[in-house]
Amino acid sequence: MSGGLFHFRKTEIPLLVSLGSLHFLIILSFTLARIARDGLFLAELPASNLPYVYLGVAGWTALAVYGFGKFTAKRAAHNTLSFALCSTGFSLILFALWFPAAPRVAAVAFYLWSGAYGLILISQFWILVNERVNPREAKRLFAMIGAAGITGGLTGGGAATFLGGSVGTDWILVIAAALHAAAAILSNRSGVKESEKAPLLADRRKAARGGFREALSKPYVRLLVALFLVGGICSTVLDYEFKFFLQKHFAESGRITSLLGGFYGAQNVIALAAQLGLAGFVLSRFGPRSAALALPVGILAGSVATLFSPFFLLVLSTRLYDATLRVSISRTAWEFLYFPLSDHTRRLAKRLIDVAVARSADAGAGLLILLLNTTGNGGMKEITLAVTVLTAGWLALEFAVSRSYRLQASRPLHRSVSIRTQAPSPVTTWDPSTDWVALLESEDESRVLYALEVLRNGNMGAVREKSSLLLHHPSPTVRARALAMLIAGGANVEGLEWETGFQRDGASGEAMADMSLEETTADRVAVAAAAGRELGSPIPRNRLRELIDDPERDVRVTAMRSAGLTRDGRFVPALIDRLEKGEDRKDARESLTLYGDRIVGLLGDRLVDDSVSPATRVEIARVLAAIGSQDAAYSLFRAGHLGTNRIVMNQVLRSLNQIRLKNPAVSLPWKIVRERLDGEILRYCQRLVQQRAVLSIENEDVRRLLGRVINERTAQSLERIFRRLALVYPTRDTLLAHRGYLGRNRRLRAQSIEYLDSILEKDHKKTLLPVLEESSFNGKVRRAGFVLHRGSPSVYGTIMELLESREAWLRAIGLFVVGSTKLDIHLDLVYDHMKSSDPIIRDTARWAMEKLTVAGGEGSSRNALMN
Amino acid sequence: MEKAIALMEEDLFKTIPTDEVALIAARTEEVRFEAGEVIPSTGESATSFFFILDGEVEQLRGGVVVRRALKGYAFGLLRLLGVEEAVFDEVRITRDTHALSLHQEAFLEAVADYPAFANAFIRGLAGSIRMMSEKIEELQKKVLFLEKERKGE
Repeated sequence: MSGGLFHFRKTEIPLLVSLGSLHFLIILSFTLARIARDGLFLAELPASNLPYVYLGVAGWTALAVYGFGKFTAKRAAHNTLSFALCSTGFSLILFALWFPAAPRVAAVAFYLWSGAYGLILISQFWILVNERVNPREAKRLFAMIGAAGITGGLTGGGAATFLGGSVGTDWILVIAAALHAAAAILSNRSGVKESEKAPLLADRRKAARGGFREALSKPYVRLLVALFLVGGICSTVLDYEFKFFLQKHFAESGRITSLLGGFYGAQNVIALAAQLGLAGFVLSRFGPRSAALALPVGILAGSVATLFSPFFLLVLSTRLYDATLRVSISRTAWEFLYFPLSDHTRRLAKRLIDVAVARSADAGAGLLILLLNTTGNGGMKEITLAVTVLTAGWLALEFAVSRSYRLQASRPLHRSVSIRTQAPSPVTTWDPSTDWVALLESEDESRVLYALEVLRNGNMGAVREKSSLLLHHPSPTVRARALAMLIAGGANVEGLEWETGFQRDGASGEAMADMSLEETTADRVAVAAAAGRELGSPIPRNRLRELIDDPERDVRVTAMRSAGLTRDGRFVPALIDRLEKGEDRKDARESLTLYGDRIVGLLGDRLVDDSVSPATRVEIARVLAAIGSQDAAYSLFRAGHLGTNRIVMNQVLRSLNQIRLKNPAVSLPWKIVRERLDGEILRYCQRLVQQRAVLSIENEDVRRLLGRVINERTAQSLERIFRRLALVYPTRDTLLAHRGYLGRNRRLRAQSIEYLDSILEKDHKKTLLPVLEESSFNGKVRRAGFVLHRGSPSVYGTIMELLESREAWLRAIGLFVVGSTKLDIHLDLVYDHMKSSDPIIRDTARWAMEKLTVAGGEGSSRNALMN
Repeated sequence: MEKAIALMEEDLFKTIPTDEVALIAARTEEVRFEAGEVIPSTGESATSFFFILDGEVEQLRGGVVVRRALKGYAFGLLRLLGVEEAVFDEVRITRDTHALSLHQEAFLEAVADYPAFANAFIRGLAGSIRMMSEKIEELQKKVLFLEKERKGE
C-alpha cells in the first residue's frame, strides 16, 4: 500500500476506515440537509430574500461558534462531535415536524440553523482527525479521508435527486437525521487512543484556559486567520467574476443552468480524482506547504492571463481550478497547519477559522464587490484586477505561513520533551527544615564539615556570616575548608581573618613562599588563596604550581582557583594534568574556564593529541564548552574529524551543541559540517545493513556479541547525526527531535520526523528521512541499502569492514570474531594488527593469530560463522 | 578481550557500551580461589570487589550464611565503599571460583571516567535495595501472621 496512488500502510487501515466512514456520513447527511434547505426555502420565499438571510447566517454563525465553544470546552473531541451530531440530528426531526405547521418561518430558521451547524460539524470532525492522526500519518491518510468526504457529497447529491422525487423534502430531513445518529455512534467509538497522544511535560499539564482572544494572541494563529480571510475573499470574488462573466456572455437562463450543472458536475469529479490520485502523492512527495501553494499560484496565473486575454474559457478554468483544489488537495494541505498548535488552541483556532473566518470572508467579498460597484469600478477588468491583487496578497501570506510553520514545527516537541541545559542538582541539598547554620557553631569537626557541604549548595550567605567563627575553629580542617569555600565563593582574601601560622608569626610574602609544606592544611590554603590575589606584597606564586598537586584536596581546590584567577599561562599544563584525576576534575575545569579565550588554542592542540589520555581530552572538550566562545567552538571543531576515539568524539559534539545552545550566533563552516554529516549518514546506513548481516550468523555467541556491538554503534551513529544536524539547524529543536524520535510515543516520533522534514535540506531529506521514517527493522535496512546503493553485505564482508574500521574497538571485535571462529582470512590482515600501538588490538590480534595457526586447517573455513 | 567478553555477558554490564566494558575489563585482574578459602573483611582483599565468572561464595555474619553469590554476582562492593565490614564478617569460597577483581582506586576511576558504569552500579544497588525491601515486607507479613495466630490461640 506504500506505492502508487495509495500511500497508506496496512496497520493504518482501521484508522482510515473509521475516520473515512465518519467523514462520508457527515458530508452525506449535510449535503442532504443543505439540498432540502434550498428546496424548502425557494418553495416558500423569493430568492431576492437570500442576501438578508446570508447576513443573518453570518451573525448567527458567529454566535453559534462562540456558544458551542463555551459549552464543549472541556469535552473530548469525539464526545463533542457525537454530541453535536445527536443534537443537530434531533433538530432535523423537529424541523421536519415544524415545516407543515409554519413553512415560511421554519424555512428561514432552518436556513440560519443549517448555515452554522454544517460548518461546525465539519470543523469538529477535522479537530478529531488532527488529534488522532499524527503529521506523518496525515501525509498518507488525509487524502483518502478527504476523498471519502467528497464521495459523501457526490452520493448526497445523487440521493437527494432520487429522494426528492420519491419521498419528499421532509423525509430527506428524517433520513439525514438517521445518518447523524449513525455518525454519532461511529464518532463515539473514535476516541483518541492513549498511543495516539503525545506525552505532556509536567509544567505543560495545567488545565487549558482562555477563549478565542487567547488563541488570537498567538502570532501564528493571527497569521492563519489572515491567510484564510484573504484566501476566502479571493475565492468569493473569483466566483462573482465567473458568474458575472456567465451572465454577460449567456443571456438565456437555460444555457446558464446547463453550464452551471456541467460545471458543478465536473468540479466534483475532478475534485474526487485529484483527491484520490494526486493528493497523497503530492503531500508525500512535495510536502503540505508546497501543495498549499499550488492554489494561489494557479489562480494568480489564471487572473493575470485573464487581464490580458479576457476569454470566458480562462475565467471558467480559473474558477474550476479554485473550486476543485479548494475542496481536495488544498483543503488537505491546510489541515497540516494546525498540527503545531496545542489541542486547546487548535480547537479554538479551527472553529474560528473554519466557521467565523469563512463567513467573514464571504461578507468581506460582498463588501468589496459593493464598493467596486458603487464607485463605478465594477467592470470585468476591475474585478479581475481585484482578484489578481488579492491572490498576490494571499500568496505572500502563504509564504509567511510557510516560514512560520517551519518555526512552529518544533512546538509540539517543546510541549513533550525537555533537554537538560543546567548541571544536575548536587546530592547534598539545602533542607530548610534543619538548622544547618546552628551546626556551624559546633565544636565537632564532622558536624561542621557536613553542615558546610550542605550550605555550600543552599546558603553560602550564612557561611559568610559565620566566617570569623569558622576561620578560628579549633579544627584546622574546618578552618581550611571554610577558607577554601569562602575564597571559591568570591570573598576577598584581604578582608578575611584567619588563624594561620603566617599571621601569628607576621610572615611576609617571601616567607610564605619559602615556607615548607610542613605547615597545616589551613596555612597552605592561605598561601594558595593569597597567590590568587594582588596583596601589595610579593605574591608567593612560585609555590602555586606545587600546591596544585598538594595531597590535601582543600589546598588543591584553592590553588587551582587561584591559578585560574591569575590567568598565568605557567599553571595551565598543571591544571590540564589535574583533569586526569576524578575528584579534581570539576575544580580544574572551572579554573581553566577562567582563562577564557586565551587558552583555547592550547586546549585545542591537546584535544587532537592522541598521546593525551581520552579522559583528559573529554574534560578539555568540557572546558571549551564552558568557555563557549566562537574560538572555543573552532577548537572543538578541529577535533571533529578525529574518529579514533568514540568517547572523545561524542563529547566534542556534545560540547559544540552546548556552545550553540548557549549562543546560537556561534557558527561553523556548513560545507565541512555537511561533509561530516554525509559521512555519518552513510555510516549509520552501513551499520544498519551490517546488523542485518549479523542476524544470519548461526554461532549464537558470535551473533550476540556482534549484534550488540553493531547495534550500539548504530544508536551512537544516529545520535551523532542529530548532534551534527544541531550544529547547523536550531540546536535545541534538533536535540528535542532526537529525544522525541527515540521515545516510544508514536505521535511524538512522528512530530520529530515532521520537524526534520520542515528544516532539512533536500539531499538530507532524501537520504535520511526515509530511513528514519521506517518503523520496522527490515524496512530501515531496505532504505539504508538504497542509500548505500547495495544490499546487505555477507557476514564475511561485515567482518572485513570491521577490520578496516577506523575505530580501534571495532577492529578488536573483528579480530576476536576471526580468532574465535577460525575464519579463513589472509593471515597478513591479522599480522598487521599485531603491530598496533593500541594494546587491545595488539593483544587480540596475537590471540587470534594463535587460534588460527594452532588450529591449522582444521575447521578453518570462510563458512565457519555459518556452522 | 576475553575478560571484556565475560563481563559483557553479565546483567550489570549490559547497559554499558561495549568499548567502555573493555576499558573497565582492562583495569581488572583475574583471580582464582579454591573451595574452602576464606576472605576476611579486613586487609588487602577488602579494598577490591570481585565479579564472579564461575564458582560460588557465601557471605557470613556470626557464622551464619547471610548471602550466597554465584556466577554473574559481585561481592565486596559494599566493603569497597566502607559499608560491608559492619554487615559481613567474612566471605567463604564454597566452590572453586574464577573471578575478576577491581581494586578500589581502579573502581573509583572507572566511576569517574564512565558515567554508564556509575549508572549501572547505581541501578544494581537500587535493585538490591528493592530486593531487600521486598524481603523485609515478606518477613513483616509473616510476623503479622504469626502474631495474629498467637493472639488467636
